[in-house]
Amino acid sequence: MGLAIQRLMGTCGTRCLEDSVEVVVFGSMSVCLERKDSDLDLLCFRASSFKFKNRQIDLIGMHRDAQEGSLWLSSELASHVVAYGIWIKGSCTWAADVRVGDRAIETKRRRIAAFIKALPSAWHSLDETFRLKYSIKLRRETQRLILMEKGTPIPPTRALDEFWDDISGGPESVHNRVREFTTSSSGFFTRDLLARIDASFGTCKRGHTGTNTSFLRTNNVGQPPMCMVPTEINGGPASGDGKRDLLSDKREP
Amino acid sequence: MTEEGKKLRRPSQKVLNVIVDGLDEIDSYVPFPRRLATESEEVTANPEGELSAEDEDESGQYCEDNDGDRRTEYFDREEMEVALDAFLSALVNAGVIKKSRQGKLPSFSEVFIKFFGQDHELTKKAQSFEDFVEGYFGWISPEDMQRAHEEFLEIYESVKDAARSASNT
Repeated sequence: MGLAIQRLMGTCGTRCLEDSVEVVVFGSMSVCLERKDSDLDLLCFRASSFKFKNRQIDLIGMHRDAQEGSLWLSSELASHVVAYGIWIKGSCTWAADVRVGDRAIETKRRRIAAFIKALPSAWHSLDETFRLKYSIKLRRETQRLILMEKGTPIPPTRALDEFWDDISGGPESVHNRVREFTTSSSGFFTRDLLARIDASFGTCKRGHTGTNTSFLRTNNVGQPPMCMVPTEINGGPASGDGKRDLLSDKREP
Repeated sequence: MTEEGKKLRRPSQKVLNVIVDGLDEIDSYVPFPRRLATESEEVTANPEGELSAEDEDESGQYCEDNDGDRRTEYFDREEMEVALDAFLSALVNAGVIKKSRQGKLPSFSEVFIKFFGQDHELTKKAQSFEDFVEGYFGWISPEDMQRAHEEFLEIYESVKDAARSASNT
């Protein structure tokens, strides 16, 4: 995999990987849930921070001192990486210190509340594309919040879309949680948003019964990282902007 | 970017009017500092612009109360995201832009690249606006919001002037 990554990243990216003390594959590819157009998510720790992104690779280079900081250890991304990441260079020495922190949970709550505050007045004028975008975004963010509050690591976005029953017991919890955020919103907006969220669960779940979901980590974070190599390439449509949501705290030091 | 993409363009009056409508959408959803400053002026300044008695505390120092809070207020990035999508929706509804084959719509600055060209001054201002409102950890600082608003006003006035000129010709 290292050689393949080097081919995709060119000289500059390759040097970044060589300089790194740890390189981790995370996101959909680390659990064989990638789609045809998924990119490869890489996290590395090195002497200075670095970013690289093209259509095939999204690399976050963090300063190696950051891995001992409480901001990183309590972040959403750290819990995801520890639970689902695959180390292709170095090994994880900080897994035991990772816990989803109050700050990360509060950030997630604030984000959902901010969207729900801004959306009602714009809902009528937004194109259908955007109403769909926000209903999916709010559903996924609420799913992440529910998991974070339980101390459960956030799985790749596709798992939120397709295996929520296996992760957290059904769509009602998400419906009810979104409803709590919309108590002061207009009736039409709330009804339309909740109907779309409920419908998106129905659409996502169909056709995936019988899929092996043993990769899911429903226990608390702080467990030793996985050591496996993805072998299967899955097809299907893109998962939208979920990765950006998952990585909303990726710029933490 | 191809040479064709860099070339300066002159959009039609219809397109210019729709962009103005879209910018109005942004202005209606985002509490730009201008509006807050206007409100605070009404509260804290007399017609000559001098501070009134209520603005000074007992020691004669400027009182930071409500006015001070507003000046240090951070803005939700999410609010800006919704406003930018309302802008794009106005353009979609008017049939001025449409989704790509991959089902994607252009960003705010890509709209300006499409209609004015990569090297146009307005495109640069649109890119600068996007940079200012990108935010950090979901927040936009008051300073960045102020700069974003300055860029926004310049874009708005330029597009409006261009629409006016197009209608005169």
